[in-house]
Amino acid sequence: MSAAPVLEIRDLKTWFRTDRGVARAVDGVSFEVLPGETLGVVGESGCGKSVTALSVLGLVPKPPGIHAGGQILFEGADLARLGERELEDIRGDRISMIFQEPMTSLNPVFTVGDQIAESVVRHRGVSRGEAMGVAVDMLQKVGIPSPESRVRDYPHQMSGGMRQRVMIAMALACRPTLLVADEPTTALDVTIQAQILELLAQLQRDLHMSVLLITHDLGVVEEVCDRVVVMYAGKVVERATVDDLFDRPLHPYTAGLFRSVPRATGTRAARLEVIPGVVPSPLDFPTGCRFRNRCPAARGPCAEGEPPLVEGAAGHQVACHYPEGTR
Amino acid sequence: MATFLLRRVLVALPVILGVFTVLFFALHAMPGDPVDTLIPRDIPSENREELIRNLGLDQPLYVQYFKTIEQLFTLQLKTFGTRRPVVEVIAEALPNTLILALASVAIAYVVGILLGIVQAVRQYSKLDTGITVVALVFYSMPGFWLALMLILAFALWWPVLPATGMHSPGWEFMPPAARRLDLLRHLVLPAATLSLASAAGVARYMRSSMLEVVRQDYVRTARAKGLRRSKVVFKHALRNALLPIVTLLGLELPALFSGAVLVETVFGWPGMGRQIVGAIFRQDFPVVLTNTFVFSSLVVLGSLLADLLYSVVDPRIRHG
Repeated sequence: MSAAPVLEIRDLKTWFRTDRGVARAVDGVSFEVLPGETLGVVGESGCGKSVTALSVLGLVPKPPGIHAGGQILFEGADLARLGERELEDIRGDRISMIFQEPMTSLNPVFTVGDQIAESVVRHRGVSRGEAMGVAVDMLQKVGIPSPESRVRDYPHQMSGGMRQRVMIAMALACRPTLLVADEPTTALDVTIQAQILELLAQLQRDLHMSVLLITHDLGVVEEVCDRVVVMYAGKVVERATVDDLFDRPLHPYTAGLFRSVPRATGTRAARLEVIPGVVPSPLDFPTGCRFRNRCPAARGPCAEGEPPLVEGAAGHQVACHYPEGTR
Repeated sequence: MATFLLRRVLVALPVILGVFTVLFFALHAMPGDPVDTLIPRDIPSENREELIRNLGLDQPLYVQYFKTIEQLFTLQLKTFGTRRPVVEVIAEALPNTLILALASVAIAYVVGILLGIVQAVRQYSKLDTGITVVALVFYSMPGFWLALMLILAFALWWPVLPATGMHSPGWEFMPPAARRLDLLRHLVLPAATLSLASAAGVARYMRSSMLEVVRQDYVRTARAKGLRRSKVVFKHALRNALLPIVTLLGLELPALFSGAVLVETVFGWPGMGRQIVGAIFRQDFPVVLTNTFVFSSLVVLGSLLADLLYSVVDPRIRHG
């Protein structure tokens, strides 16, 4: 795990100007993605995980979005400082992205083959005919039966799971080093979810790429991730390997997340716990620790200083004044 | 597809017949007598009676109605005035109207679509606001007034274009290239009058359609692929934004033809619109009726074409 990271995000701040003030959606996030690993980013809706993902590819709409600070280091360049044209050269080639909604993420008026080939033509400079050949190969790779004919299908002729496979084929057609997957299975049936995750894992091994997986599903994290970053209110609150995090969560928020996952084991009488309250608005975060209003362990000092992300155990960082097990 | 077409035509037939029927009785209810416009009042009454008989105006109205329909479909209908076959008279005017109408549609859509795209890409910029204001001005301006202003500006104050007609005197003796240029110069003002308002409308539609489309997930996907911004806009967004505009094309046709009536009259364009106006004043019923019949058929045909075009541009309709 000592290899140089593929992607290193340092103190990233992506804010949005709104009529009611500045929304600090991502507010000082740092983590790195190592070669060949899958890094999960988990958190509730609105914690800034998707905006972090979009920031990596420079896809945050500006305005209203603003890059308020920090670096996104990838292959020796700071993506946050690159111009649109340089970013365009990287997108879809070195870094690709797949999205949550396969039903709406493909253009309805072009064939799936067209949409895959387009990326190949753009980055490899090959002819359309050759690119269509690549498209057929990719459809085969993502497990679409009779790819030679399906390549001429329009998106509406395919199911949600198939469309997500097409999205994956499109994203991986140029063999990127990093795939950013923003909730790739959230919109799919559970059985299809498992297939897509399995497919992603297999392609990751074949292509030796790293995956940045954005999800709110701890089950997905446990299944496919090597390391995890837990985000809350635009901040990283905990960072660890999957085993460490699942064995011994240090942040009260992470612990709360685990307690709120329904389990098939245990007694029926055991009630599902919830974390009280809602995620604070990015327009108006609480002072000090942003989780303190909802935190069972909060006490006086939590309102004063914002806890820094520090080593709570070996290779396991946490941003909390009173991490679990120390109280 | 064949059944779809057949059904559309079958639905259209009663519509066209309905238009014809209403117009037929409205014309006959009009005050005045067509015979008065043909001969002086002091002509002996037996000659007058003979003319009325010749025109078939002595028959009961319902007989005239069915006779007119029969003659319309057998192409036997003749004008009241010159007794020439109406088909012949309209055949002279139809190409001229089509030239004007097609030029106007082309201008309206090309200009409107381009402006709409520019506005959407530069949303809330000064350019966007400026185009919106200008578009609203043209959209709300009555066609006859715009026509007069254009004549005033480009034919009188700054006389660069002819104000009326379709050809300059002596155009028959020009070489073909000069003839085409001459026609084009005569076409500018009437086509502008007819197209500016609908160009403004198309621009408004296009702007909102584009703005709607650029927010879609698939546009973000196209950007995530690393496509150049121009390609994202002109390929992925535009193709989808055009879908509602194609529907608009079918709806705009009636407005276009009724606009042609006015524009042709103001600019002395020898088309069907001017023919209708003249024929109404002369109470030349067969000419009015046949012209209207052709107009309503063209509208039906046009919206049919728009529907077909829609299935060409939207694969979801093609494949059901």
